[in-house]
Amino acid sequence: MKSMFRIITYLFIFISVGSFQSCRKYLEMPPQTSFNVDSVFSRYQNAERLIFDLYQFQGRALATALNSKMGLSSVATITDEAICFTAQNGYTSNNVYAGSVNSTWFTVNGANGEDVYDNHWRTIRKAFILKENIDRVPDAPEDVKRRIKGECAAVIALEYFEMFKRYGGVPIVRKSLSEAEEFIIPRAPLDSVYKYILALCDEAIANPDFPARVPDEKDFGRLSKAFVYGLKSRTMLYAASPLFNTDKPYQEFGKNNNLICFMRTDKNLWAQAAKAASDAITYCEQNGYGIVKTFGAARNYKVACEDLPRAGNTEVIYGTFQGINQSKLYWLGRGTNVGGYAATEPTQNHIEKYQNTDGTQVNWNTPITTPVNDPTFPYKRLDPRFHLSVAYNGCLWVTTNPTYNLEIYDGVDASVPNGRNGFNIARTQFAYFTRKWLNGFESSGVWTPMSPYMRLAEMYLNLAEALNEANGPSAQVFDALDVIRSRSGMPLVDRTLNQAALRAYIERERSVELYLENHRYFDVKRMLQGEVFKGPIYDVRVIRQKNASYTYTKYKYHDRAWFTHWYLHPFPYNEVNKGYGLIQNPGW
Amino acid sequence: MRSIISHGSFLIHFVTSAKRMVQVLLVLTSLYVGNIRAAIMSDGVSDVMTTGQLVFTGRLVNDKGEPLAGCTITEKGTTNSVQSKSDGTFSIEVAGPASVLQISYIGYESKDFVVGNLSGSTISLAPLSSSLDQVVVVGYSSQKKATVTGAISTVKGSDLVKAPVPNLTAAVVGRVPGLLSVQRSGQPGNDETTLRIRGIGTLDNGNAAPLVLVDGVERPFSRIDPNEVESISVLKDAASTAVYGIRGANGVILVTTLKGKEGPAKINYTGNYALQVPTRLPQFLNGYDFSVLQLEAQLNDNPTATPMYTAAELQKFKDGSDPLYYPSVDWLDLMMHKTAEQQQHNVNISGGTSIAKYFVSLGYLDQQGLWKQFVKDYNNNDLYKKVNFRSNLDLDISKSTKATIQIGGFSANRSSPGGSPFLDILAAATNGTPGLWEGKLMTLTRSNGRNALGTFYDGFDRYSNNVLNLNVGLRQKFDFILKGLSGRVMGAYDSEYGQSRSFSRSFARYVAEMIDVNGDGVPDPILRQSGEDGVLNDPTESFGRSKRVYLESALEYNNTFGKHAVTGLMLYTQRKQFYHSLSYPGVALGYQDLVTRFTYNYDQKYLVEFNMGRNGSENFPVNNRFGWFPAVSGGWVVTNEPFVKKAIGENFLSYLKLRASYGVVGNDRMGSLRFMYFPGEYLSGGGAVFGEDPVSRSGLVEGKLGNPNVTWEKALKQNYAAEFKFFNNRLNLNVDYFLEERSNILTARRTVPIHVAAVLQDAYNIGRVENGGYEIELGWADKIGSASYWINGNYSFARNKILYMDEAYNTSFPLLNQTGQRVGEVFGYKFMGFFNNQDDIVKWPRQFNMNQRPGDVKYADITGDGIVDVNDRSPIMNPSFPEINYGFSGGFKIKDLDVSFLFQGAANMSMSLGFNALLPFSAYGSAMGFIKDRWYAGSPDNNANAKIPRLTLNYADMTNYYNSSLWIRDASYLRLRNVQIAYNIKENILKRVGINSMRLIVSGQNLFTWDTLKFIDPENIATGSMTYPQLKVFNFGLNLQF
Repeated sequence: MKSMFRIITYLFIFISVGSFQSCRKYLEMPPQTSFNVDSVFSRYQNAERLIFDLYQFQGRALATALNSKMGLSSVATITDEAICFTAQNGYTSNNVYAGSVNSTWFTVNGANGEDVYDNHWRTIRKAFILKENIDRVPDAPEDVKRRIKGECAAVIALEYFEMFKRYGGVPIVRKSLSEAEEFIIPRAPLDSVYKYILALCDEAIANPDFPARVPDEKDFGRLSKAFVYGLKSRTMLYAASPLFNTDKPYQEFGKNNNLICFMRTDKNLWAQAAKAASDAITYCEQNGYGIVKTFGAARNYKVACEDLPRAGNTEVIYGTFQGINQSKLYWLGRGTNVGGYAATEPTQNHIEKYQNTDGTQVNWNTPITTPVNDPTFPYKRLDPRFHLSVAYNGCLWVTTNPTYNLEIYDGVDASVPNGRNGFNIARTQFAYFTRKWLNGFESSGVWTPMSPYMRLAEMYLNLAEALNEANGPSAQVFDALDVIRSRSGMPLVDRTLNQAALRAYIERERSVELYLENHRYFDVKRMLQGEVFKGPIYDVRVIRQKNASYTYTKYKYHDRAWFTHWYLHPFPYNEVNKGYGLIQNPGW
Repeated sequence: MRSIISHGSFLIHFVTSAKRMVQVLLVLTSLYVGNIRAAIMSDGVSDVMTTGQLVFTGRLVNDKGEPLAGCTITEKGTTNSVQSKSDGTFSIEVAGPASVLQISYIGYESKDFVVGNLSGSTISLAPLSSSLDQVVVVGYSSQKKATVTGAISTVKGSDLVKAPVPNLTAAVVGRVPGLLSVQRSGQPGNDETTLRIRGIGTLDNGNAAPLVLVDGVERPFSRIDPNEVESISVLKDAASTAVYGIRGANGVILVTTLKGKEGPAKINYTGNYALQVPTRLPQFLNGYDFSVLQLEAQLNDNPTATPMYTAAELQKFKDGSDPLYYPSVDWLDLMMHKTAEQQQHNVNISGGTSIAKYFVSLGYLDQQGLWKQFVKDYNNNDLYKKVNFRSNLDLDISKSTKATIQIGGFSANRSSPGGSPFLDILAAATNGTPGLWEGKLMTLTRSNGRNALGTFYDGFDRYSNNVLNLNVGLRQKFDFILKGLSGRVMGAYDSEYGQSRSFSRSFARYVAEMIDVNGDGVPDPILRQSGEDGVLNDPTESFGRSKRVYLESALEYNNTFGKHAVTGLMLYTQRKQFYHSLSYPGVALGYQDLVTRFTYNYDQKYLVEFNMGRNGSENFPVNNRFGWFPAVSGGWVVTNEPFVKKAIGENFLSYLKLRASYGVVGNDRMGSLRFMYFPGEYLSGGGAVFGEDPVSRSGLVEGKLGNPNVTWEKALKQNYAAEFKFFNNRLNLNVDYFLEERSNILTARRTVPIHVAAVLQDAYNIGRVENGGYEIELGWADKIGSASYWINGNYSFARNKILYMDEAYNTSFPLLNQTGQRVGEVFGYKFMGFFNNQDDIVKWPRQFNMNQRPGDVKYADITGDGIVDVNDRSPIMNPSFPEINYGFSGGFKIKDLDVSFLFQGAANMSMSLGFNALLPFSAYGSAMGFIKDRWYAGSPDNNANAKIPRLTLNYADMTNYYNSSLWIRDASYLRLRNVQIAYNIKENILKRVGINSMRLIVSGQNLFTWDTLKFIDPENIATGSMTYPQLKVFNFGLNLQF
């Protein structure tokens, strides 16, 4: 018995001593299998995944809404281009119409807002980390590394431009920062940000290994040098525009005026913008880009906006697929065969921007009654770009299977039935719905067209606008416009227009050509024409008469809110509250 | 001679002299003999009654050996009784050795015993409120309640079994001061109550969960059979939790399972059969009311619109003449039973010899859900079935060596309908579809919403869960080395395996159309099929497993020197958990603790205790993983001072203990983060789509930066308490006041500019929260004649305040900041009524730059700047977790009848009436009955009693539905949590069939609820994501002892 005590005693001592001994190494060490910055840059295969990541948020900048922006809608719906009906989200364009949006909507409210401020910085940080560390990768050739550095510079420039146009001056960051460093960086003057963007563009352009265009089909969706030329043109056009190019900002901001304007009016900026546009056109065309001309006047525009480079789209400079993109289906009218939400529908205001193919305008100010059984009468002679962008009563909805002639009308009285197949006005909400990017849609429920962010056509429009502002009308201006117009079979521009008339003409042409491509909202603002947003916004009422003729009556749908302080976006209030000197834009 | 005699592990008698010890031993021995005799007789071995008269003499003493005068001694079943004299002696004539004597005395437990040959012995009575002698389970040990200096509350297993609830967490609610709780769902198998000890002391309720240990090992306790529980201890202050150190800051719950006691085998069967009824279900509008109000909403939006229902159509909804096209479906009535059954059975056997003691238990639970059966080939109802077992074995290998083997576990199966039927009901208009028609599942004939029945036809989910817990321990006395020294080692192994399977299939739906089939010009309804009946798809399966290994070794010292009593404890533990739900699931989670405890008391009068944990957590940098967590506490038993006894008198103030504790405890968790110091981590994610043949390419995203200086949360806790007993222990009053300051709270930084770090989920020690409150417990227990009764109330209050949280502080509108407010504070607008007319609108500040209409909600302009906007929000109402919890229980026992009840309430809590339920006729198509109280034009009382804004179908403008005091409602409640009526039968006739005693029980849970919400249970999760309701339970139970 005594020996058993001993055994147990020794057992205790052994276990106790043993466990204290093992103490130190008992707790787990972190797994060495996960990636850290060293292991990521130890192989090109890993580093490459950071490149893919640079584009994580780029989809938001593309020309068509993704599910991650503006609810199911498009930024076009807060301009006179389009209108949003959907009530699916409490926080969409409808609140802009009512004027009841706050800084959260503009810059934080992810899927339903206009922008996510944080994402610009996330992307910039990713680009800097990649740029600073790519030289550490042992298994990649030097030219590949240099190409990546150029791409990073381009991505940073793009993000800065996207902030520049929305917020004015923002903090300038030149490397990836850590919390150990001094990180209190105030907003930089607008002029410094402008110069920073141009410097980044020049850095990318000077990079010998950054390709002129994406060399491999597999890489479609990545930036190239041609894009940087275009970005430079776009940036300089914005800089020359009256929103920024002034000593008196849209709203007095005291000693902070330099954050939201250049503090001087410099006409020379227009000339510089013209040169940038011209350089972009030259560079692009030297490298195989060109205005799409070979598919016939009725189709060229569709190819330029929706098709792939390998299908003949030589215009798209930067665009991508963003996976399964259903959101554009929500743009269809309610009650259509795929059950759209009328989330982005053309307004009558926009329709009136289309000329007839002979250069004349349809007069909508008095009701139009069509001949018997000819519902498309008012639209027949409009610009081919109209027919590729807008669906309307009586048009052939060729993209569905089977094809329909849309019936978007109400009967004149109970004896005449409303439009069939569910396409009646009460359910579609508006007389038009979007066709651009839905050409070829086959009611599959999933529709993935190419989404352009930049097309060569824009460069011609940039050139025309900048030249007209710098020197007034000239052959070069008219020629630039005609390049675009003639591609769709439209007649030459009237050579007698004066500078002001030409300015309006260019603006109209820009609206038509770049419809729904996210330009209009920012174009109107940079031209200080914000009152345009107030409306009134028009629609047409379509009535089928007893004799099967149709009456189109334009009517005012609504007015919208617009406030001067909306010229620039607010910073997220949460970011301002952090108290490091991010000065909120005036009026917010 | 002074010594401590331990009997089993549950009863410790202190004796002050050898003589008394001998007396006590004699009494104990004689009682055992009596018991054994009685047992023999009950077994029918000897039922011969002796008829001769016998004179029984004895002496009655109290637990301290002092004589008890005036006790009543009665021969059971007769009127024969005597009283004890001043020296405690008595003499009574009884029928024979088989007679049973009953002794009762005010303030003491009554005692029954068989006369046998005990005549001439001394009989001791235990004080009625013998709680001072109770042994309380404390961290890694147990202590006599009298010497405890920490804040610990306990619940006995006998109280837990009163609650006929399938989840043990619900049984403790209301019985423990300082325990705050919310039960969000009553779904079978998914009905755990969220428990928080003394509220929330950290920045996030999710990180405030207490540490739970079962039989000394960290394990969940919700699925333990209450019939297997000896007690539950709730450790609240630093003194009691310091030994858990780095994990003790949120308090600790210790569950101890039952063990065998020496004696013949006792077989105990308990069976319960119960009916469950929802405490409350929302009421929906019937088809007619729905249609009428929907029409009102439509015309509110556009008075010139073509009405969606004609008068003739409304009439059809009203008279139900065309239930196919003009239905009115009460989904809850259609889909749910009024009651559902629940059964619980437990058989346990316990007993033992001086060498081996055992407790073996087998339990079964079957809880049915409320859904009706609609589907032919599978059960579409909720269901939870569990078989549990436990075997606790104590072996006395030698006089100084004991071994313990505890095995427990359960195997559970759960079923639930696929999807979420309650959400579907919430989304189903009552006038949209008849649901089923001629046995066919109908799709909608009109309106939005769903056919709520569809979810039953589309599939179902099955879960199974197997848990095995094993403890093996060895205790050894080392008296031969040093008197009072002992040691122990324990190892534990837990294994858990879970499987979930989700079955789905397609099912034909039918749509009704009016077609003139027979050509008589009158359209007939025909049902057109859409979709086919499919077969069940292979289930999607997922598995979960968990494995825990725990080791503990300890040295204990326990001795008295004259009036000085000393104990000491040194203990080492380590535990590893494999396959957990935290990040890096493949890397085992580890902890290590070194525990020291030292207690000293002088004459049970002056008590001092020192506890310290040194604990390590892998979350912190390798060189800084271990922290010290010391706590010191002391007590003064005032009534043990002779001068106090003399001055006040024991009959008035029987007992007073003052105690205080102060110490530091820690918390190492922040969500599921691990290795918080680990720098620069990249995780898969992000990426984009590239290529003309689009391919999604995944990226690597910077996961966290790593904080090399990260350390644990520190909770500085103070506790001050007084325990009173008055009137010979009949009245007791405990008051605890506590204050906690939690610093170094692990939380993400919120003020780093976005241009520095896009990644902000790293843990930093930057939060500070203060939490304080008090607990009061008041009880009374007494006897009237042979009836005893007791009442007991407890009240707890805990309020926290965020002192610092690295918030982007809004200096312009300080009311919008969380700093300075409570954790989980609800911010919203202040509801000021409805706009009654255009004039109201004009006079009111402009709201959100919107044009308001009569019937819209009017909000307070808190900032006074003439416009109502986001800056006019402020803290409104209370957080969703209660600050106040109280319980009020009582009961009585007359002869063979005992009755008990428990009221429980919570206050200072609110419920946000979630989004979906708020929007009648919206995408969530239903409309609840309360919308009848809407604002509407032409209301007879001019909308004086309107409770919700004007109806609309267009929710583009949500301003009426912003978080405001209109939609955040007070959810305080009081419930009749538990009632139990039991009748004990000990008739001889039972003994003939081998049953020692029988107990018939009727009990109920959650029988009544008083609150102000009215349309939904106050503990329910917000209506926006309505879940399975809380349940009322009506229970019938039977307990048999063999």
